[in-house]
Amino acid sequence: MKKMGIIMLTAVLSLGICGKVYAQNKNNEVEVTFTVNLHCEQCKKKVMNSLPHEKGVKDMKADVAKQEVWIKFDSKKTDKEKLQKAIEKLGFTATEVILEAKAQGHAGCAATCKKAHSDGCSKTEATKKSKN
Amino acid sequence: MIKKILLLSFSCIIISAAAQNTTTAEDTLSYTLNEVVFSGAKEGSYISKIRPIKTEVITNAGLCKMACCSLAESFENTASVSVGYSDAISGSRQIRLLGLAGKYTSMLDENRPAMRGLAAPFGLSYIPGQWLESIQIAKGPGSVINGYESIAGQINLELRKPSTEEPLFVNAYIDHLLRTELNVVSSLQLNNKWSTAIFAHGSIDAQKHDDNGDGFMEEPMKKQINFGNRWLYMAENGMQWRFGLSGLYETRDGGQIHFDKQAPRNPATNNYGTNIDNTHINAYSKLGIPLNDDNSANIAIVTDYTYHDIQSFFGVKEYNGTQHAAFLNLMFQNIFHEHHKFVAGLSGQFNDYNEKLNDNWFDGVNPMVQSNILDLSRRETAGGVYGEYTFNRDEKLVFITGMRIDYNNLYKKWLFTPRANLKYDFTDNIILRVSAGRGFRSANIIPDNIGILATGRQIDIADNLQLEDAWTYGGSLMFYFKCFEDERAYISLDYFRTDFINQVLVNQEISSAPNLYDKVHIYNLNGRSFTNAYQIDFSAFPVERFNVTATFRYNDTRADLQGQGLTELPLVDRYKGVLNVQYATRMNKWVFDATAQINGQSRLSNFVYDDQKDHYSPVYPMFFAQITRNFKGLSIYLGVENILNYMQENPILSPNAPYSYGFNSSVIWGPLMGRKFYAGLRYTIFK
Repeated sequence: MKKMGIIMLTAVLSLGICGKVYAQNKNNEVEVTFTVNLHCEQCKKKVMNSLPHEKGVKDMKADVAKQEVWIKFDSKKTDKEKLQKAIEKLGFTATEVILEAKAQGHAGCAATCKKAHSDGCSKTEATKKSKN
Repeated sequence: MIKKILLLSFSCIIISAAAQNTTTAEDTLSYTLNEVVFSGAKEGSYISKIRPIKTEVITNAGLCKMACCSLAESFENTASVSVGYSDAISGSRQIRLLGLAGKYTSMLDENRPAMRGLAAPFGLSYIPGQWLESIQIAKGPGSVINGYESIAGQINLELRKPSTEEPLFVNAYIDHLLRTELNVVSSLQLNNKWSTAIFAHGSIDAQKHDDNGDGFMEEPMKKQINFGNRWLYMAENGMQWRFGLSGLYETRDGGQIHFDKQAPRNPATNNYGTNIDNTHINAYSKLGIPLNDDNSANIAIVTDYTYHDIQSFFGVKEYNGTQHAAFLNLMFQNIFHEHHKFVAGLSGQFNDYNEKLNDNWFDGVNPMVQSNILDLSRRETAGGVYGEYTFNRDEKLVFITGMRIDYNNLYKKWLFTPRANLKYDFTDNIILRVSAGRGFRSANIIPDNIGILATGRQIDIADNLQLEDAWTYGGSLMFYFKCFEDERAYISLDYFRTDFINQVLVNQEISSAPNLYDKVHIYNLNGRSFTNAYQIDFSAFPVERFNVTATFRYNDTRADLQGQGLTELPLVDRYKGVLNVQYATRMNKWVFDATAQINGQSRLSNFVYDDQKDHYSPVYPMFFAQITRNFKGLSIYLGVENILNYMQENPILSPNAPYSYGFNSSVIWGPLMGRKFYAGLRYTIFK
């Protein structure tokens, strides 16, 4: 019975720690969308080949039709400026969508994926505000 | 401006749809089209939504799902095309589309005829899979612009482009049988006008393998070196010029494990062996000139020259040949209204074959070898005029009708080739396609049936062979629907039928005397020959980064065979099912692919079985799996093919008596090679 108690306590503590770590990671994750002059699938391939391997990038998508690149990153490891430079280093122009979104009332928000659309913009906007 | 855009988009859709030979507009617009297609496309393989002709596209991503060393292996993920061995000796692979042999499908290299004539038997190994950008499989007779030959469909190959901003692509491959392969492609943009792509391939398969213990290698030892150089010139006025040169040398050594290639090929003292040497050279030019500012009118000139040399022996049979082939197409295109376009042109082919078969065999009575020298040399010129009209109403209704009239000097015949294709979108989610048309082809007896050389039989060719002539008609219905997270999942239903007016049949089932099958008979169809092909395809991304494709195809292929009446053709699988699942982690860092196939039964040739045995081959499954890890610029893949190690039992008849008429290695219905582990890498430098 005592053993069982220890095991349960250990399990609860482990879950708690895991939960804390997860929450912390979650807090560090920031999303950003750039308008990028992607002309074709080759451009997308080029971006998809490079950006996922930039430090701190957790997830990303590139959309040729919308000419947008959506990135989720760890704000402790990188920031939007570095990511923008990383895109520009590939030979593209990159402009953060948030500026247009503010002016257009989210009309320019990344619709690359539903997730980015539903909660990405507000997060990005919040991050931008906090940074400013 | 709007009119220009409309014209451009109109022409790009139609041009690509018709899969015609290139023009200035075409290449620019095909490129535009590709953007449209791929940006919304399924990765891997998908059925094109906008093309009027039912077209399955295998993308570069699809080609990376498996080892895809050669073009033949690139079709493992699709049920539309079956790939099998023509025999158990030469390693020659042949495809089937709509249940018909690959010879009835036009192979095109960027819309120029390819792998024709003497290059056909081993042509599927001449295009390394890693050179390819995509493959388009179009069912049905297609457009008249590409000539009169297509009967079952067209397979167009798009290679990596000079305009692709990848100065270096390297692929290295090895499998546990020690087949090694190296592919290098370099695309260089020299300035705004000139770009070039350099292709190189080397592969070696130097090990002898006899896993089934019949004394014969399952695959011949092979060496291949392959080189290509393509150029693109784009002028400011829209003119484009594409030209290129390629060369290949391949040698294959097969047969019995203990065959001594250096010793005299004496049946009394040496084992059975084969050697096949192929040399292939191709040069082409495609010039497109716009005639007005918006490119709605343009002319194109396509020229192509191919030289092929084959030197071979199969035991005591010898087959040698050279071919000079020239192709010319002059085309004028005019989009004279937003909804109307016509294309008219002249095209022709010249083929000079110098072909000799030294047909030797043992008749079982006379101990001396019997011999018959067949000179199959000929000069064939076929050319004519064509016209094609396209009506396009907002892409919802597209109707293409065309006709060509050619004269073939060899058969001294005028050939009328009408074709029509219709696409109608009932809604954005329901699309109907219908096509019908006629096709002709002149048989190349030995190249079309290279497996018959790997038998001990006498080859008996009728002397009045006629052009093959067939009608193909059918259609497909596509339904798009929501499937969990995927808004554009689809199901496609196909039906195509081909009716031959004349067909050159190869029949090994005619006995000279009771139970004496000692000849291969080649003759004109006398009666009916037809194929019904049914297919259903499903594709969806039910969860993000998780793709499921499933396909099932059923064929009913019958012909009036001499002595048997209307009979199911032997060694044609009745059905095939393919299930492919792919899961990728975020940003495709890890990609997992698994493919399962179920291969239906085939009727066995009547000389294979006796009354106690089943007359059909067994149904067998095949499984494939691959894991890919993507790094920056580098992909590493590990995979296994034929996981269950399923192999056809006794693929060679009378392996212990290879110099007897009973020897036959052409009765192949299943895999010859067992389980195969492989690993490879792809390294890309982007500009």
